[in-house]
Amino acid sequence: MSRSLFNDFLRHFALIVILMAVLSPLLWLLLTAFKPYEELFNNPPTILPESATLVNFTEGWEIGGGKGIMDSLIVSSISTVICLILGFPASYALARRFPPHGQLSFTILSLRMMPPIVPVIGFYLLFQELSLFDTYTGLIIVYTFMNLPLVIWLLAEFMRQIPKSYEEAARVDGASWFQLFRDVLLPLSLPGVLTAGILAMIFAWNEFLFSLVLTGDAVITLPKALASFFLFQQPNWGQLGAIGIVAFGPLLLLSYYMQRLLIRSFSIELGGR
Amino acid sequence: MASIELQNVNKWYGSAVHAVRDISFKIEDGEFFGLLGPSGSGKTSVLRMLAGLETVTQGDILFDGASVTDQTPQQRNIAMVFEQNALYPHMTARQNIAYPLKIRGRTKAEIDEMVGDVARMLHIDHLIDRRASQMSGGQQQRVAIARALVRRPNLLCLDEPIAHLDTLLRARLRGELKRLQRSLGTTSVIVTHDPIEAMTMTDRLAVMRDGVLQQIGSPDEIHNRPVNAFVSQFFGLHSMNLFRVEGLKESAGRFSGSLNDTHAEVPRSAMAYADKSDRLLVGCRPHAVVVVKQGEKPPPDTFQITGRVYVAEPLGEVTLVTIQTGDLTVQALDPRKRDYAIDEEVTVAVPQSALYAFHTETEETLAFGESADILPDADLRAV
Repeated sequence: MSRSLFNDFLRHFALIVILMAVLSPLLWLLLTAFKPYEELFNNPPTILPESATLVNFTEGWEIGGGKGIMDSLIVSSISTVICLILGFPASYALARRFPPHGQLSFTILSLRMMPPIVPVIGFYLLFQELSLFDTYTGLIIVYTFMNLPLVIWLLAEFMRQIPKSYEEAARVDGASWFQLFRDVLLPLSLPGVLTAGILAMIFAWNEFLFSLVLTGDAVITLPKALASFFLFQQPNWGQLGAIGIVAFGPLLLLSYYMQRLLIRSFSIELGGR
Repeated sequence: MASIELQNVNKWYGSAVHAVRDISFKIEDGEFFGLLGPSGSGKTSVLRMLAGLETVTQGDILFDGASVTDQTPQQRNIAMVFEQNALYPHMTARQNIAYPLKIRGRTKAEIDEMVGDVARMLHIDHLIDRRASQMSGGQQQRVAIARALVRRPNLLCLDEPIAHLDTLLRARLRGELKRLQRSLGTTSVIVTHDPIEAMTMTDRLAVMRDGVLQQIGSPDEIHNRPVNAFVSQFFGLHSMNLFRVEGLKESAGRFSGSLNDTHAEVPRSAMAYADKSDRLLVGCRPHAVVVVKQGEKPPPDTFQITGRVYVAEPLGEVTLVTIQTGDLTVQALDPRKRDYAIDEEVTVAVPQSALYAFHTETEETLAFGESADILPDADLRAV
């Protein structure tokens, strides 16, 4: 065996081992979702479901998965839109008026680094006072607070890549600030806007702690719904698997889309002279 | 269209950089004005203040006699062509050109007509639906010029618009821009570090150095009557040769001195410009230099030094001979078809009538050399 062939073999072997370690829990989740309850406890366990069924999905939807998905969608999408609307102009200011690695930039990012457990007590007390406890509005505010620093910081990085001459050209052409943002900066930073939006969406979608502490029975996001399956009943692994797949699927699609966006945004820069 | 006036304009960046120092001049309505200088001379700052992209730290800018100092670029109705990255990359050429009209609320029919006109004028009709990335650098600059001209601005600002193009294209666009400017009569200001651009395109120009205005005049005036050694060296197809001679003395009726440890013969008439400590700063254009080979007799009454040929470059009609003496480099344009060997020993001779004299300390011009075409020995300088 030649040396390069041996190296190739080693490299692929290592890749396969790592992939198996990473993907096997996901695969198990996927397979479990299609197994009827009785089959879960077979000994020795079956790998492929012997009698595949969709009953876990329908039941899982009814016992709280459905509400979880709807609530998560409402809260994470609205907070993401608010993050982008507020973050876009803020990131422009950060990129153009402040030094790239200055104190302000760091302070904004450090807000995101704070452990979520730190502000949660403050939020709890505040929300009790303001009647925001267990409301969509409350959770949207918290997720906006949580994701805005990241959105600003990410978008500012994108904005810095845009040559100043584009906006100077627009100002000379007579564009107002609004027209400058809408006609020039937004189209040019669109890959960045979408990337930041997808990240904010994913973080809000996955968030557990704030949701657990700041909501009760009225708002139940998906992570909280999933967790409650353990708390109040014998966990039905099949239903958990089914809801898990539904919770994870959109993220997988978004991540895939984001990756393509990032590649495209780089190629735009290279293509534009 | 408008006349432009700068009154004692200053620009500070922070408190450390005084980029533009107390500059005043007037640009007439319809004039093609140049701002020329090396990088860091403040020429771009002046242009950007005219455009409103930089604030004026001190002083006033007037359009048609009314102050625009505090107006934004949007309010000034000016147009600008940038050095690069000028076109909006997400729009086609047509959308780029139409953009200033669109935000002014023109109707679609009007826009189509005006864009069509200006596109024909700049010969870009066939590119009209391409994006910036699908066009060459020259095509992009054409579209940028079209976008600037489409709305008949008060002032057209050109920030090194053709500096990034290749030589042939640059020469072509130079001519086209000049014709366009003349036919439209739009008051225009071009910033350039290229004396040829400034010389060929503009009606009048300002030469700047370290934020200070050196000279304003027609290209001809600045070429033939530079106010100081800097302008004379910076401006022109070939820069002026400068000779700084020290230790002048007379022996047997002839004057001589030393220049970088080389012996220099100085004509009697030039001695009038020597300073008290027997120093002299003279210069001449390369076409005035007579290269004397060994065995030839140098013409009488000339400034003379000896040196070695560094390289000789035939330019078709003339040969550009670069001669080194010590660490001084002298350029000569020799109209005669002669061969030069590298390191050949030659004498550089400059007729006294072609010599410029400068003050040894302030470097201000004390005397102008006669321009090339009225020199007595005309056949030698047919350039």
